[in-house]
Amino acid sequence: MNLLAVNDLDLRIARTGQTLLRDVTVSIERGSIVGLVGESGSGKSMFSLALMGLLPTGIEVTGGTAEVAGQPVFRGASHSYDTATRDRIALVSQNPRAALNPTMRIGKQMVRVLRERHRMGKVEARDEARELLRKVGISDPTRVERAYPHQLSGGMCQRVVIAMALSVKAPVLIADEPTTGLDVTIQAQILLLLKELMADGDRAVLMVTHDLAVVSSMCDQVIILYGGQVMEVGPTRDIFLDPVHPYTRFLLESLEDHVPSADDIGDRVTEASVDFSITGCRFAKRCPFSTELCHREPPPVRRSGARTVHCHHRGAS
Amino acid sequence: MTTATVPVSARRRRLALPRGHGDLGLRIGLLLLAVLVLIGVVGPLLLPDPNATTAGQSLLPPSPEHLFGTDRYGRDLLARTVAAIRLDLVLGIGVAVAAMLLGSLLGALAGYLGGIVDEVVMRLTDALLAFPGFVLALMVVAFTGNSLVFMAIGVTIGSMPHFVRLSRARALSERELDYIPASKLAGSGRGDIIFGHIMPNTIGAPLIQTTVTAGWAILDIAALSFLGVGVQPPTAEWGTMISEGYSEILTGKWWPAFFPGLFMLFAVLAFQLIGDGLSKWKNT
Amino acid sequence: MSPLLEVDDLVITYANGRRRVSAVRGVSFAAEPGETIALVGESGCGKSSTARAVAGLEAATAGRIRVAGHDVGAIARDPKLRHLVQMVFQHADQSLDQTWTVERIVAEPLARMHRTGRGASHDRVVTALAEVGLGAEYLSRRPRDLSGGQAQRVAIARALITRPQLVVLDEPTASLDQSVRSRVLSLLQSLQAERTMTYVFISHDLASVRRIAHRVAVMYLGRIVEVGPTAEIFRDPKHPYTRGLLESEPRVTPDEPWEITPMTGETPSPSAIPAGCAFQGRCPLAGPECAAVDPPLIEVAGGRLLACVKKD
Repeated sequence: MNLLAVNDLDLRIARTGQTLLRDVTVSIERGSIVGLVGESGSGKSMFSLALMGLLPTGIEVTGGTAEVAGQPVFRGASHSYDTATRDRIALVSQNPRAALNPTMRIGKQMVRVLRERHRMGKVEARDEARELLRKVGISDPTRVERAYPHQLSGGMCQRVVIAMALSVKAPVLIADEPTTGLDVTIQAQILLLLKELMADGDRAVLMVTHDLAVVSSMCDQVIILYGGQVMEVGPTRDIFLDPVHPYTRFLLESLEDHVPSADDIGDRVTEASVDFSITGCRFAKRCPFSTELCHREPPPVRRSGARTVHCHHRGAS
Repeated sequence: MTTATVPVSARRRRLALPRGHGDLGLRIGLLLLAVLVLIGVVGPLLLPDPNATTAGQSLLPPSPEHLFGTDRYGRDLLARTVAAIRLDLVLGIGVAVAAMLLGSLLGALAGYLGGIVDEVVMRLTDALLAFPGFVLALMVVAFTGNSLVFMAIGVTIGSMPHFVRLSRARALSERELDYIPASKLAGSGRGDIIFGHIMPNTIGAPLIQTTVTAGWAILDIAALSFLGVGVQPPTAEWGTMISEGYSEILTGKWWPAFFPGLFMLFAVLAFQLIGDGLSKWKNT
Repeated sequence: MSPLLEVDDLVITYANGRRRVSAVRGVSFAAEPGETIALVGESGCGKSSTARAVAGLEAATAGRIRVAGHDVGAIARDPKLRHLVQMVFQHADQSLDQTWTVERIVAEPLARMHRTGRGASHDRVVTALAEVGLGAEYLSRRPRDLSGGQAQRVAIARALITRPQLVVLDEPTASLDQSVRSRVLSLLQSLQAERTMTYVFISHDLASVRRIAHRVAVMYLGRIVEVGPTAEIFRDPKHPYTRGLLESEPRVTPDEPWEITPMTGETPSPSAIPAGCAFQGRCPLAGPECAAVDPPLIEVAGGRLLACVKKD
């Protein structure tokens, strides 16, 4: 069953009408980790913010639908955010220290969240908080409980944030660049932790990242995003072994592990910033295969089994 | 840091006039100032001599021949009020610009160099802030002698602390950015960095503050000349005019004090609106 | 042929209030002309402090750094020597003055060191920009109009315009998008080949290091724990920390699931370094002898140096 189902989501800057996200469709089944991959400016962070109702002023949802565990996220013609959604999605973000209240001890913050969400008593909440800290691999919860965020390392803070996210007991977890800025050894610890927490199969996880290696190791499915538009979707293995969309191929070719071959198109992709005023495909300006049609018309969705490619010319094989 | 940011085209709006609340205030302020400047430049050419006393014409109420009436000495008040525009605006803007330049430089030096320079500058600034600008100017004049120049210097000194703080705060954060060590690698000395890099990057907020400071400076200058400090009668200046005219209110002759006060209001209001509008625009 | 860069027993200690932070605790290495040596490690290992000291931006508490025979302190003070060592920073947008134009930015070293006027430097700036793949239309642009990759290219053009012999690159591609990273690395490599420059490449991104570095020095908590030719270090890491580091790196392996085997624990704070080997708290091979002595860096094979009590 799809715990997260987003269809044709449109996001715009209210003042200029510029579209930041266009026709974005994402669906995640229970027990699955889906990676949303994009470079800077792709709109991937805006996507998480939209689902959490945390968009900055001036940016609005103008089209599409979204459902979490069957419940709609946006209501009415104005697509206003239903705040009950926050009970159903938990967010783990980049920069864990920024997600914690710097003036409050960790234990107090967690107890507060638990008591508000689940109407727990003080003692019950404290025990639950300790249990959650243990669950995220903190072997000495009492020490962490009494600490302030600035006294903990980045990796430790991120574990605490994950513990707090778990405490919400939400069916959907969004991890938005959860390991960016952390050391690589700590990153491995956090990724392993996330993977282990997924093992009980109750949740759906959306992992938003720019790091293809992380996606390759963590995600069952990949969504490639460029300029606010979905380019390609498919099972991880298929996408990496047989990329179809020119942008996907370009991304994979730029990996250090890539063995150069005659089929490479990377050199033919021009370097340019995203042009949000194009009515057609957002990648058209840089794509070696683009035609006038590509600039004019949004690309159709070509489906083939579990894969979809949004392109006028390269169909899913 | 890879952040999803607002697209390039939205960044280009920096040079376009803003839309939104600050905009209206900014436009009104600019318009008001433009009108004042126009009147101040063109007016004296068309109007009678502001210092020409006419016996037998004293304290006439506003009429078609004397739109603002006449003062105690029979001088046309419209001519005087308009003549004062130039003096007050030039003094006010001059003081504000001088305070901005000196204050920003000091603040940049303090912020960038740190250490003892910072300590000395900050303690001096704190000391200056303990006095209202007006009182400071009085003290300077008491030391140096009563003249327009010394009065202007006094008001300038009194207006500096604000700028020192603004630019110091910015300098403290700018010096941590990598373009400063990059400049050292390019062979820059301290002077090169302070004038080439720190000053241009810290001058933003002080520039905007200058407009508001000009307004306050005009108030200070008028208040001082009201007391006879700095600008002396018979020079036409709003403060001296109010000083000469306020006692007439007791006999029901409101116009000698009213019109200079009104124009002073317009001038200060214009600067406030401009300054406010600019800072709203900068913060969007 | 003597090495271009010689770092001898570098020590850098900061005073943070009452605490002393030992960022670098006795680091020694050398680099030959035309070589790229990478310093890798995680936060707190001292690689950035070392980089800044090599560039002459930070004073060493003890030890000596020499480039082309000159002490780095002298290089920093003398405009006639300053061109020998240049640096490219991690955050390109912060390393360019937002109020300057690209032309002025790239010309700054010429203006300061050679006292070249604007007209005379114009052509050299155009050439420098062309060498990094940017056309003359960029001259009048300002940093805010540039993308991350373009900004970094401008920074590289500026660093290289005075023909330095040594360039310190502090995480030059860390803030760039994946697709841009690759191009910038290629650019750096081709420029190095053309001019025989030595690079000190600081990075936590092992993939970039694998590509661009001839030798790698792995740092942990202010010391070098292992040095060797890149290919060998990656193929056969000898120090337990190096092994853990390599194993923690997520690789793109679509066919086999990547078994994440992270290292346990976290790096101790540089203001509270344990006695003996700094790594013992996390080391799978640690024994009682590890607490007794801080192992020195010694040669264990041709070109391979290792700091570990248990040399296997």
